[in-house]
Amino acid sequence: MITLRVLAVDDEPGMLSGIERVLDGYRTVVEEIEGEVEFRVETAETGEKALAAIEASPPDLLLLDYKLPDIDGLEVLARLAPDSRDMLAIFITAYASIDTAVTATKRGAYDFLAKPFAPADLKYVIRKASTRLLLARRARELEAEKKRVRFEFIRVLGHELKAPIGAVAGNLYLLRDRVMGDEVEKYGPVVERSLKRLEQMRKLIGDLLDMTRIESGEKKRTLEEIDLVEAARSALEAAGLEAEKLQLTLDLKGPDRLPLEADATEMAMIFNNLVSNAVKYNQPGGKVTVELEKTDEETLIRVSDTGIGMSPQGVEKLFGEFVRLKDSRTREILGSGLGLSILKRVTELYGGKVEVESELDKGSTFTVRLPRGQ
Amino acid sequence: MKIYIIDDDIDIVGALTASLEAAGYEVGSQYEEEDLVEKIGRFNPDLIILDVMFPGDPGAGFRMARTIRHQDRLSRIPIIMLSAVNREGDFLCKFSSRDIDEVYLPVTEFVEKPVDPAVLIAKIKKLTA
Repeated sequence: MITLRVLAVDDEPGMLSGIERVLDGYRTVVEEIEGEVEFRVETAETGEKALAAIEASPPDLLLLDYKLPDIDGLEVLARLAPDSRDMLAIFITAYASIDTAVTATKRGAYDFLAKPFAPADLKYVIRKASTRLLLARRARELEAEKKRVRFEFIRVLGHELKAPIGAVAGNLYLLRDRVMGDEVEKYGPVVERSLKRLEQMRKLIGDLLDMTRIESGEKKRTLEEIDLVEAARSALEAAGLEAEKLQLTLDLKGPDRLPLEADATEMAMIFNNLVSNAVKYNQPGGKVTVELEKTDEETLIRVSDTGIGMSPQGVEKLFGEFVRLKDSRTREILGSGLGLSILKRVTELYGGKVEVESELDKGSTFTVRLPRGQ
Repeated sequence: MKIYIIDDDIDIVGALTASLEAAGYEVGSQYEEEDLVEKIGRFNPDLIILDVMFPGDPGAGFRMARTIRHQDRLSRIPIIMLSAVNREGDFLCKFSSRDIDEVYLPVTEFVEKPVDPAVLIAKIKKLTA
C-alpha cells in the first residue's frame, strides 16, 4: 500500500472540507504499477501557508485553487522550488480562461479541475495524476538501479582484472628474490601458473568484449544455415588438449548433420562455453558427452560431464556475472566468471533457454533449448 | 615468528607463503571464511594478512577483520589488509570513508596488491617489533 499525501489549498472552508471528505482515506488501485494507493489530505487556506507547508514537507499531490486571499495560485506555482518536481500540481479554477491555463501549465501544473466539480471528477483527476506520478517514480528507481548494477559490475570487473596481476607479480617477486634457490628449473610451476593467469586475463577481456557486443546490439549477426554437428566437433577439438591432460573421453551423439539457421560465432560461443566447462570441472578419467537433437518444436544441445557437479545452491547462483563457485575442489580451476552469463545471453538471442541439472560429485548436464523458427 | 594468510587466491597465497618462509617466517593460511576463529586460534599467529574480496562477497574481509577484533584472544594480533581493492578509489566510492575506522574496518595497516615482499616484510617487522 502506497500512501500519497495531498495538499489542498483553498480559502473556502467548505471546499477544503469537501475535498477532505472525498479524498482522505480514499483507496484505489493503480493498475499501471500494480499497487494500491491511499490518499491523506492536508489543507492550507492561503498561498503563503501552502508554500510554507510544501517547504516543510512536500506533498505528493497539490490541489491548488487559483483565487487565494494573499498570493494567487499562479504565484504559488512560480515560487515553488524547481526540485519540487516530484510533486504534481492540479490547478483548480472557477474562472477557466485559456490564459490562466496556459500560464499555469508553463509554471508546471499537471492538470486542471474546473469549479464546481463532482466527487467523481475529483477522484478521476487525482487518480490520473497519481498514475503519472508513480510511473515517473518507478522509472527513476529503475534508472538508479541500472546505474547501481552497472557500477557494481565494473567494480567487480576491476577486481577480477587486478587479481591475475597480483598473482603474476607475486610469482615474479619469487624469481627476483631467488626465493627457491638459484636453479631455474625449480621455478617451472611458478612460471606455468603465471602463464595460466595471464591466459585467464586474456580470456576475461575477450569474454567482456563479447558480452558488451551482445548487450549493445552492436554485434554483427550473420544468420545462415550452419551444421551444429560441425560446430560441436570444433568445440570438442579445441578442448582436446585440456581433455587429454585429464584423460577424458569425449563423445558426440546425434544425427550426422543438424542444420540450423544461426550465426556461426554465436553457436561457437555456446559450444565452446559448454564444452570447456564440462572439461574443466571434470574428474580424471571422466567423460564429456555432447548430444544434439531436433524435435518438431526445438533444437536441443545437451552437454553432460561426469565432473564435480554442484549443490542446488550453487546452481541457483550460476548464471550471475563473475560468479565462480570456489571451494577446495575448484580453487585451481581458472575462469573469467562470465562464460555462463554469455551463454545465457547468446541463447536468449534465439529465444531459447538454458537448463542445468547437477549433482554434487556426480556431474552436470547443461541443456540449451533453441525454439524452431527463430 | 608466525604469519597467517587469509586469501581466496591460490597463487597469491602460494607466492606469499614462499616469500615469507624464505624470510624465516612460519606461515599458515586459509582460503575462505569458514572456521576462521578456530583456525587462527590453533595456529596462534603473530600477525594476520587478510584479503578484502572473497567469491560472492566483496566485503567479506571487512567482516572477518571485525570478527577477529571482537575475539578477546585474537584482538591484539596486528592485521595487514592486503587487497587489490584500492583504498583511494574503491573504498571511497563503494565503502565510504567510515569503513576505515576502528569499528567498521579495524585493521592495523592497509597494503595494496601487488606488493613487493620486501615492502611487506618491512611492515611485518615494524608491526611485530
